[in-house]
Amino acid sequence: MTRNEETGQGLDDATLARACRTAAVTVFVSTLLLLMLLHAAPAAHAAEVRVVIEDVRSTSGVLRVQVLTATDAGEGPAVAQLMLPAVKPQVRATLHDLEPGRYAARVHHDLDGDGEMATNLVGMPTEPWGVSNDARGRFGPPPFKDMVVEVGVDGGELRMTLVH
Amino acid sequence: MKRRDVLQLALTAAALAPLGRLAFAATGDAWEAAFLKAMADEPWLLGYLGCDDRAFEAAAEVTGRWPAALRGRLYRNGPGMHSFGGWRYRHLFDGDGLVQAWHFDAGGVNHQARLVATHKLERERAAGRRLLPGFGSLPPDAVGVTGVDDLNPANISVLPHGDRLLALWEAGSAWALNPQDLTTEGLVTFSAETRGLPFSAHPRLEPDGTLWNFGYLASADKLVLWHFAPDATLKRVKVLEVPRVGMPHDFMVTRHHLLLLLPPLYPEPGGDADTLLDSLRWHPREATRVLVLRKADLEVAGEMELPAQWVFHYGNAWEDEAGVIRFDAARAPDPLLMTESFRELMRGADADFTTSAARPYRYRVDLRAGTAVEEPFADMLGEFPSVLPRHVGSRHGELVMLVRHASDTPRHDGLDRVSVFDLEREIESSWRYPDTEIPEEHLPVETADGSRWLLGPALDWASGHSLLRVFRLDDVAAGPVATARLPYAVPLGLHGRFLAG
Ligand SMILES: [Fe+2]
Repeated sequence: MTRNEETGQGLDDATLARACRTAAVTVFVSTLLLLMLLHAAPAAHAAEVRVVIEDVRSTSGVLRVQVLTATDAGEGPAVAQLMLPAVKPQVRATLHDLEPGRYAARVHHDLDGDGEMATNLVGMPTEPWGVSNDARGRFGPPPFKDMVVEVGVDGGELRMTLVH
Repeated sequence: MKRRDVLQLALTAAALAPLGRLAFAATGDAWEAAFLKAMADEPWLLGYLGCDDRAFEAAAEVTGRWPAALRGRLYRNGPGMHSFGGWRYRHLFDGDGLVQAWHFDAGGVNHQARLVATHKLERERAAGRRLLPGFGSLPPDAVGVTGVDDLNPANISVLPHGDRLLALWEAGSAWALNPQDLTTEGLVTFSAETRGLPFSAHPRLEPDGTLWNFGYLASADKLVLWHFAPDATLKRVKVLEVPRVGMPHDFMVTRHHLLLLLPPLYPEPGGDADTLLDSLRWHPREATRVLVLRKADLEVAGEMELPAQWVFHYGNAWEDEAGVIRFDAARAPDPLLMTESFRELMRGADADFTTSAARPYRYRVDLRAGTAVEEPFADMLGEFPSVLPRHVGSRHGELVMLVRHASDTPRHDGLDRVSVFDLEREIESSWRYPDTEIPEEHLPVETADGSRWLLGPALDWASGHSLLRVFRLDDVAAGPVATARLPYAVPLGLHGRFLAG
């Protein structure tokens, strides 16, 4: 399986941790890139995974979705990167041929289409974003474990609501 | 039970009725129950009971002679709704912002108040319970958050800005309200690159309309500096790196400089505190830093040190020809009033309001010599310093403060007087409030005909009515010239602004 080793223009973890404390709340910034659908290895038990993005408020730009594997240690490599047209109020896509397992996803509504998460002067995201299960942190980024979805042989769903 | 106690219970019940609350309703929340129980013994706690999810509107009953030239609106803000869905906040500063407008015109004095319909409050209304953590409160089964404005209760102060009225919090964005009917218009974004940056609750408005403010980014070692033109457009914004920045609440402007005092109060890194308040640590052996910035380029002009101290509020700063800056403040030895007393108050515990209370201090900062010195200028407790709007940033002849003399023993244990200090002649003119009233921030104002007045909101806790008194600024000791009385009690507020006209 091809792995996406790129890490994007988002903030690194240390900066992120600081930014989070900054406002004493979660300031979650994902490392989102110009995303493309990557190769997914055909598997004996291929499953179908629906990606659903809620509360899309603008048709500008594109939605960039990163689908990640979950390992025992936490975040694993990305298995898919999608660039989807923005449709109000909901965007749906289907990933075929994923192996049953544990997955998570992030989305960034790239309103200006520049491929980067727009931020304010201190690095907080100013374009809409979301994570699977709508996981939320309290004083830090959403815990990755709360983003994880089990995908069985019958498939699964990665659902996220945009934060504006 | 003594007769006095019976009387107090009766008064408490009468006072509760105007707030529309089901008195002593069992809610299952221990703090709510404890507060209501305490209020039976200490009826002045009415000021901190909080209102239900409601709006207020009434004509005030005016006694005395309301000055004919005194026309306009006094806007005020403060934490209004402390309890919701049967759960009471654990800190005074967490209640949803209740913005009030006292409107004086030919028709008399009218009052209205509304809760700011923040994202937070709208979500909680939909859920029928508290969902979001506050500065010092963590409700049961709190949901996670995506940014600081998820928590923003818009509850500290208010500012007419352009054609909007802004409701301000400490750590997040401003909320825009309609200045006529106080309905909420939305979260304010001044520009794309400043979206979500903190805009503090104590902006300084210069006489020509220029507005300055700061924002504090806890633990990020950053301060945001804001500069607006008189037409309310954003002129400049700067993010200043300030290593180990302490938490400021207020700041000052002079002709050429901005002044911030940074107390040694920081969030503890890496802790697992429930709230921001719980994460704060006071370091009494560290200095309070005096940070002086040039208005011209928003760069540091000097940094001095003072002993550890906690200041919520400054009166005013000004600088002389030699570049010496003088200012006054309500100075406390430590922030225990905020970190402890204002927490205990929410369960009606016998909070100590005096040990860590602020006192009137004056300061002298010499930029060339690199020195900062301080001294008390009146031997009493004092808070809510304010000056005439015309004096902001220049030499102020007088300073208004709520105070308490050493000999005063008010029933409510707080500040019980309003004083006007003549700083040139070093004379205090003071009026003591009746024991049945709690004064709130008093603001000096000038009318178009040049007359000078003092606007004094207060709560008559014994009868359950909020008041607004008008004093002559030049003779406050003579007592109010007029009093406007509302048919209801509004929760004690924090800060206000007067808009003449
Ligand atoms: Fe304040």
